[in-house]
Amino acid sequence: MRDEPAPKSEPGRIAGGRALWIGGLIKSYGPHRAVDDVSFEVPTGSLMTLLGPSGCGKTTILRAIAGFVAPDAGRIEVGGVDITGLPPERRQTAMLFQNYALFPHMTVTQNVAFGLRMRHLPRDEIASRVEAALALVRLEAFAARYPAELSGGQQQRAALARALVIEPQLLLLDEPFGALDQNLREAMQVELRKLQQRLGITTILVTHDQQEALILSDLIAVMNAGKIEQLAPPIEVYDHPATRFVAGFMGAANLMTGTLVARDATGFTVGIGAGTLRLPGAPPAGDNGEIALAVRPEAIGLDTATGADNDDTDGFVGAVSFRTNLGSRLLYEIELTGGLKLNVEEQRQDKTRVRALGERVRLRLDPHHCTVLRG
Amino acid sequence: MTIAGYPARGSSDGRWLALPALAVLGLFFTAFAVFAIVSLLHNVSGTASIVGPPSLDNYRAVVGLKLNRDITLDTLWLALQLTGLCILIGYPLAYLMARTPSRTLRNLILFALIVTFLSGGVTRAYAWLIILGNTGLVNTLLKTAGLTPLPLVHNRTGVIISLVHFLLPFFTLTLFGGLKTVPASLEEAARNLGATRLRSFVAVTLPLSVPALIAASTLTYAVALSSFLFPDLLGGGRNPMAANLIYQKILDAFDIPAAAAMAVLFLLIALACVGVLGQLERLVQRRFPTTGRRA
Repeated sequence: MRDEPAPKSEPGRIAGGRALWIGGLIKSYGPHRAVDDVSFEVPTGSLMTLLGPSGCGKTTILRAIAGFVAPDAGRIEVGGVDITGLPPERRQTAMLFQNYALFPHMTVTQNVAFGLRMRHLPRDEIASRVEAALALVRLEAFAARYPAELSGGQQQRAALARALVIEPQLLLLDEPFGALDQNLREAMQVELRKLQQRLGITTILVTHDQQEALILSDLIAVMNAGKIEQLAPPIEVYDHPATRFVAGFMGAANLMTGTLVARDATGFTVGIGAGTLRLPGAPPAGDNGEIALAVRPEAIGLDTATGADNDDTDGFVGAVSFRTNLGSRLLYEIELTGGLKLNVEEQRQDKTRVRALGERVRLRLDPHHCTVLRG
Repeated sequence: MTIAGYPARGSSDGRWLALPALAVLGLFFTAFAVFAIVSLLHNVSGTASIVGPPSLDNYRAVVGLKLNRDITLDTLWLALQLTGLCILIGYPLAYLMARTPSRTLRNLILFALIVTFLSGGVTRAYAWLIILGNTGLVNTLLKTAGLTPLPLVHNRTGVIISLVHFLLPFFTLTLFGGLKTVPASLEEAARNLGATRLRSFVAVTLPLSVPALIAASTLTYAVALSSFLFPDLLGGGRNPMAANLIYQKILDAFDIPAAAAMAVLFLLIALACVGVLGQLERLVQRRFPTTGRRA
């Protein structure tokens, strides 16, 4: 390691509260910085997701924790112990690989027993722990099978049993659901989350699927270009994305750019096209008057435009330019006067009137659901 | 059911496609048949003419001579030793090629192997004579260092060195192909579960590479059995292998039927050996029900 930066947090940190602590992690491949000075910590027993598009550095971080990638700089502590220089086999981390990496020449039992054999445990202890691990993932009936004789979901459960049986301090999941079809994926996600909470095992999940991150996580770190853009609980990342990138990546949010038209002690007003929006608090400091906003489609209400709502009046008035059905919800695309298009989602109830294409509507924007973005 | 526009499976249209392959196979088989027939005739002493009636006399004579039996056994044994050496040198090489993250290193090894493949045998044999000869590169260096020069050519040592060099690309490239199909993530999984680098190799990669190892060894063994040039040039005529013996029978004794009998016998022995190895490969494949399937 060269010129290791000073750890970001103060010395003498309490170790009990956090299972994983990463400080100033840097990894470059040639001129490309895959991980660019990343620091974070994960409380014991929680599940943190590294979420981002491919190439954002999330997998590199996971592999650095497992010991397969040697960081250029930075420190990794598990349970308060510095493991940065340890080889993979001496780390108390268990990884669930993307394609499970089950040993094809070993039965399920032999696969699950592998980690315990490497730890030279007595034969009968291995047998009882393997049995318990297989029961945990409900694979007892498949113990004697080879991996190729299992379905995708069973393979994943076998790989999970193999990882859990060694009672690791950290469970690392590398895009674990990517190979499963939609229905099975959702079932496995819920199953995994329940198991993780029951065992209280600290878990790091890497995924590019924001839905998966929302379902599974206690904490989400949204990553872009080797850096963490936002680290927060799922609801907060969803409701209040910190940056334009997060808003875009979390999906389906309407992004709007407006200008600051007025400010006073209790709030400020942003002009967007012909409409104005009053928001509480202070406007973001030090910008050129341009303000980026994100608003969720389901946070926008629709009213039928009255005769007074013609193109000259202020407000968010427009016409339905597209409509589609999402089962329990309706999705509209509204083209505002001035050309801006916004997506609006409505819960569909018995009385909900389905609006026609071209119908003129007025939008209701709740200021509390509009998030001012930085960057 | 036949889909409109497509001939049903097994219709005569498909059979024509097999014709070129059958023609080639037929040609080889004809050559072999001619060989077998000639081996049953006998040579008119002092002439090149071959006459009947057919008999097994040639076979009796070939098998009856102790020298023939010794050289055949010695050839089988030497080919085994050569295959063993190729495994020792070639496995690490193929493994390095399959696993190194450095593209340059992989291409360098590949280049060296393929150059060996493509350069002519005679050229290489003389190159080895220059390197290993009594006044060659190695012995000059040894003498300069004040050490006793080693007899490296016109003996078994020279034959083995040059043949390993000749056989290594066959072995390494075949094994490399097999090793590449063993995912590196399996080794990572093993290490993640607490296995050292060596244990993860022994417990995971090595057993999974056994089918490829047997395939590469079979090929190497078969090629080694048919060695002719290197034992001739670097063995100094004192280390003949089976092919050299057959060659001598033709050129020195002009006894083509006897040579044909030798060739047929040796071919059958070689086929038996390769067949045993092939059976072993099938056995191993069955032992790993997963090979070739998604895991």
